[in-house]
Amino acid sequence: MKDHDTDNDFLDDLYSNSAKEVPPIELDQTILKQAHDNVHKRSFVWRSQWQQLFSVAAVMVLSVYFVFDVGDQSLNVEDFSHAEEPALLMKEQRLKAESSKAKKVMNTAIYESNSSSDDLNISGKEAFLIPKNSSSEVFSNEIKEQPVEINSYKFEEKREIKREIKSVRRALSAPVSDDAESLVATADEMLEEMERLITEGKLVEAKEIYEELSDTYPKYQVPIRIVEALK
Amino acid sequence: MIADESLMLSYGKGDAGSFDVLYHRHKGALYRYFVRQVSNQDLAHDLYQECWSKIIKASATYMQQSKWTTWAYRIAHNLVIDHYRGLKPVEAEQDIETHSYDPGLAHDQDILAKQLKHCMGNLPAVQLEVFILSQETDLTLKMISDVVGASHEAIKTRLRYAKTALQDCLSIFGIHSSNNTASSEFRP
Repeated sequence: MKDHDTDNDFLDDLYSNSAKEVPPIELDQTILKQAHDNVHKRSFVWRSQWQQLFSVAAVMVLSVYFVFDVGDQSLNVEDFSHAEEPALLMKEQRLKAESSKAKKVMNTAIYESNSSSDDLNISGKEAFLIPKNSSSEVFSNEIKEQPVEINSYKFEEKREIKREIKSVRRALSAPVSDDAESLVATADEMLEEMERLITEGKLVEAKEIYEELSDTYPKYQVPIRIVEALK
Repeated sequence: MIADESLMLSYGKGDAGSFDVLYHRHKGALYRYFVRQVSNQDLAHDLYQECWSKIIKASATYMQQSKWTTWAYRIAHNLVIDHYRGLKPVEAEQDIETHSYDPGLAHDQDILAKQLKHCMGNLPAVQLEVFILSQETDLTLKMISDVVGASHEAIKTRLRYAKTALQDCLSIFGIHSSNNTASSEFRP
């Protein structure tokens, strides 16, 4: 501001000529160092603040994610439990339907096995009133039209029911077919089941299966070792 | 030339080089502002350093609301006011009175400078500050009034008194402004 007062230019000149003091170099270096350190410090603080903010944000995001994720999973569990109910009902109904079908298949197999052998003793199978001369296909069709009637039991009712349940189970596990060979395979499975039960020491259950096997498949040759084991 | 305000903003954003430019541009004037008002040179150094420290610390929040020089010298002014109010102005050269006058050295700039400093040392603090600001900075009287916190008229008055006092003082050493040059006529 040298033009404040033009009347005193000589003072300005005089002052400018006398104004030669400068700060010592050490002071310059100290101040400049402080200024440079301040920049580094600010950048560090800035980074630290951002790191802190980022960490807090990440924790919040993760927390929200976990909260909602757990909520979804609990909802899914509830939904599944509710959704499973009709499925179970349907399965139960399907099992009932298949059991009735398997019952028919079993009767068919018995009929075929009886018809295929003339010397078959059918005294125990008199309960099944099945026309002897009809083929399996015709018989199946007839069965669809009229239910199989069981007139009488020679065995105890309770035991018969148990046996029937077991046979239905096996029929369900085996592929449903009118083919008698598949039923023979079921007899093999019964034999395997007996062997397993004998191995496990469950002789009562094994004996029941043996009796069932004998009733259902009278021609089936049970190995002597199993018969011996069941005695 | 990059404006002071731009340099300060740049430094506030992390460019240390901008501060270097700013510092070297203003260090002399600001240094003399303290040295010529504070009697103790060490204390003047402390104040000078503290002033720059405040500038450095304020750089992050610096906003271009006024001229950088006005802002910086207001900091300096407050420091002087806070710490050295009531202290006598610097006694520039105590031996000026005893300096034997040599006409051969009358025009020597060093001698003239010493005489000026001596006369400045006799100025009241408020006049001295305004005179230094008027000489060392490019601030207008309005800006100086903002720096020192006085009215525009008061600044004008202080500056006028300061220059009159300096002329009177310098005339003792035979220095007159008659021909617009510093001349010395020894009048014992």
